[in-house]
Amino acid sequence: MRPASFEYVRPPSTAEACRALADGGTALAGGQSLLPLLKLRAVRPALVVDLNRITELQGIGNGEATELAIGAMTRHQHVADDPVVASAVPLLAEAARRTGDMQVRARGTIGGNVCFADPRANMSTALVALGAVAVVERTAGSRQVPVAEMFSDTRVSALRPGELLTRLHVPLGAGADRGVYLEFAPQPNGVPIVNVAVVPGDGELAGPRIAVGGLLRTTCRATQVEKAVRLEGATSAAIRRGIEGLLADHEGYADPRGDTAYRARLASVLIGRGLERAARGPRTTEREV
Amino acid sequence: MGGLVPLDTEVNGERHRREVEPRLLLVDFLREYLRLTGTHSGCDDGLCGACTVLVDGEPVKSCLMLAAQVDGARITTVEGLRAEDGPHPVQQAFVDAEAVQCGYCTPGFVVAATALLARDAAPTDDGVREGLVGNLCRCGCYQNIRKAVRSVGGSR
Repeated sequence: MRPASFEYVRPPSTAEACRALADGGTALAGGQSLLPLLKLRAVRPALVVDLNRITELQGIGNGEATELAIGAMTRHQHVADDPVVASAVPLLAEAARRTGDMQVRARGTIGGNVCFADPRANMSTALVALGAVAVVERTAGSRQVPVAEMFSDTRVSALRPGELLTRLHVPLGAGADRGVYLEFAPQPNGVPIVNVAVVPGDGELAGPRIAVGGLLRTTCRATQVEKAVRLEGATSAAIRRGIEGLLADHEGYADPRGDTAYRARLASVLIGRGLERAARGPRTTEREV
Repeated sequence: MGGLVPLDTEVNGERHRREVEPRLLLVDFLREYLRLTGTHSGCDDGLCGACTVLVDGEPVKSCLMLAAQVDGARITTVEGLRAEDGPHPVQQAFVDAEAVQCGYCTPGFVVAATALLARDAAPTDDGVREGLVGNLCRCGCYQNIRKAVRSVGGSR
């Protein structure tokens, strides 16, 4: 099918984009999720705001030694290929490398991946484990939102009308360079059924940070699992108990490729492997997990 | 609703200036407006890669991009790969390796393989498989496609 008609603007700056979004526009980032929905007419925006001309939204900078700033319109391939990302936060490079295929990575963006709020989004899971913070702007100002709080429900972001995600701040240190991203995906270029990201703690006080995608209705920080692992060690029983705790507090995600119980089982296996690898510290690239 | 937007783009070295509906897809612009029917529309859902073209050198699925978005960009379709003196090396390799059965997917594979080889001049078997995972061949010609791409990249 072909999209229904819409008005189209391609503003050159964040400020102008925010004005257009305040007028009720729908943001077009890489388009790899939005275009299929436009073609199905599952979404029918009156105004599409193309962000691809806004150069200030693109690129990766680490002016600050303590964090990495990634523009929301930075393409997955750029993240996957970036040498600074590869050394400072290799799990983010791995999550990007395993997003879609070569063509999708050439267009798809890290900000679009977060804002689409699919609970299985690779970048969201990696960013949540890293404790990344989203910078969100609107015509009247800006706010900072932890990526873990960017999701209201499945495919519903926490962005308010007129807001634009402009940057992601990824804190460095605390084991970020030893983090692991793992996924179980039936097709190498398809959406995973479950993905996990594990960032090992740095020292005695802070335990590992764990994020899970495809288990709950939103990508989430698995705090119950972290707590169980801190108290009982990284045993499969502790991990399973933590996941049960998560599912007691939150609604599970399910789709035709797997019910919540199956996803819980996958998540416990992947978290176990992730913890093991994060503790071991090698930067192994697993073809199959 | 849907006022026309200006589009000024270079396709295979030729400049085109049009006014298009914002909802026009790049694949339809190429096929219907410019009659460059080498770019095929397969699944029409971003899965099969038959519509792959190069936008400023990057491989994209032209069914997942609006024509309006290539304003100011340089497009290369499978027709534009050909050199003055004959087929592009990737095209010749597909012929030599008999990497074609029905041929519907071939333009997308040839363009995607060109982009892959620009990133990695000598991909391994796994490099070809992973690089071209976004392209599907319903005839199942994958082994010969892999051989074709490897033959251009040389072996290692």
